[in-house]
Amino acid sequence: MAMRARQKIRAPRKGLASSKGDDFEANWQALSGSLKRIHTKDASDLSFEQLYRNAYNIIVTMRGHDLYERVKQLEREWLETEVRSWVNAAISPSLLFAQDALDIQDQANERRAAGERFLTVLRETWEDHQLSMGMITDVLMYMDRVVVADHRKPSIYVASMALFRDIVLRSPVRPDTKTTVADVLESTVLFLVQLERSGQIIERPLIRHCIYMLEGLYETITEEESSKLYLTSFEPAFLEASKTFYQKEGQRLVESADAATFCKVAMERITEEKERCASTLSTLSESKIKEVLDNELIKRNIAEVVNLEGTGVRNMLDQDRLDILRSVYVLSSRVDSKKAPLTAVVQKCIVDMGQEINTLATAPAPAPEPTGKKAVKEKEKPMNQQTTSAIKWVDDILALKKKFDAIWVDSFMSDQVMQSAITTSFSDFINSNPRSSEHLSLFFDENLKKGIKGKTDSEVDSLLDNGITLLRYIKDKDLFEAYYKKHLSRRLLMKRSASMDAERQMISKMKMEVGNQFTQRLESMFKDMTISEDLTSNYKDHIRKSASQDSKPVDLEINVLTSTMWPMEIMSNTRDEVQLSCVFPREVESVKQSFEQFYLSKHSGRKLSWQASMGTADIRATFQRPNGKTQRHELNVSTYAMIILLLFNDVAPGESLTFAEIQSRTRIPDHDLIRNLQSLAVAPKTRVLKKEPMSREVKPTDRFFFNHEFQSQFTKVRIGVVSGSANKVENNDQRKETEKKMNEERGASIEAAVVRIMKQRKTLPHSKLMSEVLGQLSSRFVPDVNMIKRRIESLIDREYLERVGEDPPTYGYIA
Amino acid sequence: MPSLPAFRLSIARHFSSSTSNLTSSQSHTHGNNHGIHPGSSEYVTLVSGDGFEFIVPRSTACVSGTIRRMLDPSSRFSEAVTGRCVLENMSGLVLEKVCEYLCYNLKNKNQTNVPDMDIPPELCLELLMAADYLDT
Repeated sequence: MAMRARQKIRAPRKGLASSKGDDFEANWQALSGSLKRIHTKDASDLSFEQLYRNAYNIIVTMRGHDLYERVKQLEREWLETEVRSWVNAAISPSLLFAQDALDIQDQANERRAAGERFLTVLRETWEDHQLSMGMITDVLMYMDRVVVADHRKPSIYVASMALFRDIVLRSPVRPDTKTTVADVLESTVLFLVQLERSGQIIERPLIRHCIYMLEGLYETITEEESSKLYLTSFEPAFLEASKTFYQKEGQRLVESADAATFCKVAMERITEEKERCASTLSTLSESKIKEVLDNELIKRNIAEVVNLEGTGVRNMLDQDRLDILRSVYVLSSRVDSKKAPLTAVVQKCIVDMGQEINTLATAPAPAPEPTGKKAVKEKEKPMNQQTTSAIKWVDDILALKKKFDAIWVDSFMSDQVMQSAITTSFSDFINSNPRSSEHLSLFFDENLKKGIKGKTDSEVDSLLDNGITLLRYIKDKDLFEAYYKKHLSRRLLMKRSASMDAERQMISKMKMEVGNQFTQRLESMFKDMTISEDLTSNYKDHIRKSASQDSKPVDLEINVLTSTMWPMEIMSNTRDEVQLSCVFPREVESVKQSFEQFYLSKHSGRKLSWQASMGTADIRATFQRPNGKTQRHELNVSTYAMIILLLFNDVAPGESLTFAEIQSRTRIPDHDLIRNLQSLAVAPKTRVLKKEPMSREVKPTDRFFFNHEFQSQFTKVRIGVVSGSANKVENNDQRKETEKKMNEERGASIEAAVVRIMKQRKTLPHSKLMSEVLGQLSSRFVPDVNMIKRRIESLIDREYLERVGEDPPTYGYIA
Repeated sequence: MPSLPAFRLSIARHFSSSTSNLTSSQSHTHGNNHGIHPGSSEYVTLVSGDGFEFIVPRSTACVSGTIRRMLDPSSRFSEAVTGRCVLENMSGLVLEKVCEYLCYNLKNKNQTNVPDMDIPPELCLELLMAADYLDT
């Protein structure tokens, strides 16, 4: 290293800048001539290196600052003398004065042609300037690096762009006006955009290039994004013009066109403006013009469009015009996340349609009822009609629901807000029908009995799911539970259910939907059924083992039901005060006693009460024909009918029993006895008994004979009991009964809830307590506020609660 | 001067018989264009003030900011049209070292642990000025 350090460093041979010395003027002469040639596009035999070296020489001789100013001056002169005059020459008078001549076709065409000519010139001027300045900047790059950095000046390129802005764009077109080239550019572009909006084809690339120019020029030399000329001058004018245009357009459309056209035009305008920003103007404006559209065209008018008489949303819903609905939705959601007008109409529409279904289902009901009460025979038919109309109600609602689900998915893009709006409306009109719970339960009953036969699992599944969705809407779930329990118990005991699997499925679906508590009792009904099956077979074993020598043991199939879980009111007639159990015939009585023994030996401390009204019996009857032959039939009858028929075993042929006799010997409740006698003696196909006098009504004085001439082509005959065994719509009395029961049950639930809450909180103000009670119970039903108040009063009377304060009223819990 | 095989492979060196006069040097190469189409070709020629020609790949030459702009096809200067750059104020000796550096720079771009390049001390100042001039 020491050796090398001593080596002599060769002095630069006069430096790189030596060749032409430091003659500033000479260098500048050479340079300025070349720069002009660059502007006149005559640069191909210029040597970059030479120019660069000229500039370099000037700068290394410390005259860089002068060079910068000279170049600027050169540019200014060039723009002022040459460029400005070209541009101004291209501006024809029509561009200057015909501002509002859009309506006159000739003038518009003329103005358009002049405008395009002007834009072309401007575009060329700009592009030339850009290109030349690019080249000049390259040549002067040494200056940019050294002088500009040292003196904190804008680069020569930026400076020349600012010159272009001021000298070309910002100068008056004519000495006598204030209008500048930029103003003419602005009005011309707006005019062309206006032409395009009214459907004409314009030369988009041309405009785009002029806009590029505005985007490439800045207000300040620091060139911030926000100081682009496009943003500072053109865009506000464009937005303002668009605003006026769309205000007018919106007004015109609402006044003259229908909703569908409005939506179509609006959608088209949206894509059109977007496209315009992409291909004609600047993407910078996209969001802003969107806002203008949203505010001026859509927001102002959407409510009116939605409610347009005859063509609005109402009409679209009626006619399933999903595509237009989708447009309406898209438009609404652009301006309002709640889509208030749209939801309002949809909700109203649903409620209206729902009310129609409601009235349809209830309309036939009031008419036949008065007659139905008078004549028992006529009761059958309207009741059935009501049942079908109940099921039709459910079907109609499901159809409506399906329709709106489809609309929701297709047109409302599965929007959350719309869904909750639709749900509320459904819930509203369903709950406005006081019988909705009953109808729905009947729907399930019908389907589980007959509807699902011959259907695949998935079909059954979707059917049940449909029902469950309706259940979701019902507020009084406890009422539904009561009906469902009643109908279910009939299905189970009468073995009318088509498929136990489906029943179980149904229960588990309800469990998922409404919760464990809801299905607990229903599940225990199923459990009782299974236990009873075991019990029956155990009992049969027991009988076989005890090997009694009775020649004809009676087969007993028994269902032991937990009394709290089953709806007892449908089995025992509650209207009778004290119910004496009916008298069973000897044969049956012994079986009954033997079973009681058997059962109590297994479960001590339980009480069995026999419910004859729900049972059935198979009996074999022998009919003596007059020709000496005997005909055997197996009769499947209700338990009561069996008891009645067995009475006739002890009656000599040809003798009779009166109604009163039968009643006293069997102690069957009046109501049931009448119905059973009707089915045995009046129903035409199953006339095992003869009645005197022969009439439809059963009177206490009627006499009954065993009918030996009973005819049937089948060996097995099923004798149903007239009415009562099938599930159908309740009549008014029954409904009152159910309501009364429901209210009692609700009262108990409310009291339980109140006590539960108070035990936990000790003291609580009235309003707080109310809201907590409502919250706890809302999953089952919507409690009546007055009822809660009454229940709280009664709890205070019974010293569960006390009043501890008056303002606000507060309660305390008494332990 | 240490031998640099990689570098020598990539540049051809011509001793022009003509003087350092710019015009005569240009006319010399015009007739002797090496069959390469100028302007867009892969190789460009760098000529020193005293007539040495260095033919280097375009990418190598463009390491220098000045030469890159000089050759930019969009600026239609004569250098861009012919693919020949005469660097009037640089001697062949300096330009050779410059070319060596341009290759060295391109080769070791984006690499770590780059070996030092050998600079003869007697050329230091001239090379510094050349670097400033060529914006490298």
